[in-house]
Amino acid sequence: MNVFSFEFKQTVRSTLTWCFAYTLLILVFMLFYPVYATDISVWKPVFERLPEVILKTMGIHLDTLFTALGFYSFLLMYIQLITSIQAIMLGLGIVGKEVRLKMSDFILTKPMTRAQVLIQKSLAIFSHLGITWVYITALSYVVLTIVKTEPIDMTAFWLFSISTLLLQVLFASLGILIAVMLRKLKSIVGVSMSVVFTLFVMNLMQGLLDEPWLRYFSPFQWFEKNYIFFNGAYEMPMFSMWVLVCVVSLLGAYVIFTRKDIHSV
Amino acid sequence: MAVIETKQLTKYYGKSRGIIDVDLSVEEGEIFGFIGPNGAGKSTTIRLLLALIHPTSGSATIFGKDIIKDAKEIHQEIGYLPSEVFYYDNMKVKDLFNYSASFYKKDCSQRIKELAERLDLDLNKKIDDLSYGNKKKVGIIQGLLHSPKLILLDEPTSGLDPLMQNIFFDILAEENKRGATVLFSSHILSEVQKLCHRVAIIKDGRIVKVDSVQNMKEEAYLKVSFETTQPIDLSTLIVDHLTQVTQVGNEVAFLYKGDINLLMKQLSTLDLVRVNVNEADLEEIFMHYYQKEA
Repeated sequence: MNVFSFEFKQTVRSTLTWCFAYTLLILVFMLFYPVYATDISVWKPVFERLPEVILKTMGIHLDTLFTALGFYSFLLMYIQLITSIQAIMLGLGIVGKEVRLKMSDFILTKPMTRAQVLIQKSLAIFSHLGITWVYITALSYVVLTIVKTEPIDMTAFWLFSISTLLLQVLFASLGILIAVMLRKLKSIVGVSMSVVFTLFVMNLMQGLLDEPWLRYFSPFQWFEKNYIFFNGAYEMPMFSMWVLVCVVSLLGAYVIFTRKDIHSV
Repeated sequence: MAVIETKQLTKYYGKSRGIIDVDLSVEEGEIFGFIGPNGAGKSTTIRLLLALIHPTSGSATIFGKDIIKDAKEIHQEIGYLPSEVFYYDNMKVKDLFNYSASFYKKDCSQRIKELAERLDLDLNKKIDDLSYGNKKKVGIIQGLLHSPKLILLDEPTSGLDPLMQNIFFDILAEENKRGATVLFSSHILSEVQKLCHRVAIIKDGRIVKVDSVQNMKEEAYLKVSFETTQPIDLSTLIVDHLTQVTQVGNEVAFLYKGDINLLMKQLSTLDLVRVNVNEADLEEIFMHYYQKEA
């Protein structure tokens, strides 16, 4: 497991930095809730006057916005955007590391099969994502119990949290797939941002256009908060899309990586 | 026993030629040179042997094992130095070596220390801060730290100063004495000549000649040049086997293979100012193969 432990250690600092950012985001935003909750009568008309399109694109649901968990679910949209960026950057960064540094020769002439290299690297990626997820979930739970004014719907909370993890896994898988397909990788940030923001814009577009089929191409819509709130479950067709994309990405990455020619640089 | 054996090994990159029908056999304990200009297929062959790229057709074995199927086992005993070295950023030299060593089933720390001392490399420096030549040394140690049985070198000396080159060659010679087989690709013939027992000449993806350095030089060509008082008509020289003939004014130079006495008799009929007869070095032999086939 030397590749795993090497990659794991190399990523510790970056994960700590991300967690620091999540801490700021969650604390600053959620500690604002008690102030806001005392003045619901003031805020409610403000939101009600906004056009529905804007509410939709911003991911605001008036029915739920005024509970602590509803408020949190609004924040979660942005947390998920950021964790998705972190996840795809990890996928690209760890699996694409040797491509970016032009040192594929180094790792692939070591006595280890390509499958082993890919699996150990993927494990390092998913471990860091797992740690990040546990941290976000625990912190969110603690903060929610502090600021809540009514009991928290734990089923919804868990479904929200797990949807974050599912998005992390999805974007990491996409990152891994892209990493094995590239012959050169100049900027991890550039590639990551363009993928995530394209999909995020798809999400906003869906809010605007309201075309049901568009949802299938917009992962940020797959775990729709309101649906989770009212049904206590994920939407099966969307969840199936998630399974499909993850399986295809990871299997595809495996097939490509174990067969591809490594050209000299 | 052949350590490396290739059978009609062929690689195409899409439609463009990599190597075609390469049959090579490198014996245990040999230092085998692989020479040819850029783009002839040297790197392609080495990358195929390392399973970095996959053959289009043909097959090859190392230590009797299939280069693709048994790559993992084979790599346990291979040391490889690519022509250009790149490493993880923000890492100390010793950390890279430790990571590299962690792939092998043996303790390499002693060997790392020895090699670093020999090559005068500071293990505590960050790789990013090293000069190109020093990075190359990192590559050398990285390739040798596990005392491999087969050492593959792809144009290894670029970027090393002459002093370091000598030390590097000494190390290779010692590794070879210890029992390691070495395959060495280069377009610098003098270094191949200095180090190798046998050489293969590759041209346009095909092996054109495999022979011992000794033989090549023996059956080799004499490098003849002379100067006459008057320009001469070369066709009056009735000697065969002249190649690479150049004539500038009164000066003539060519490579000659054949009876030296015959040549001398011919030369003695000329009004000479100066004569030079030398053994051709590998460079000229190499050029000879290249031009003959062209």
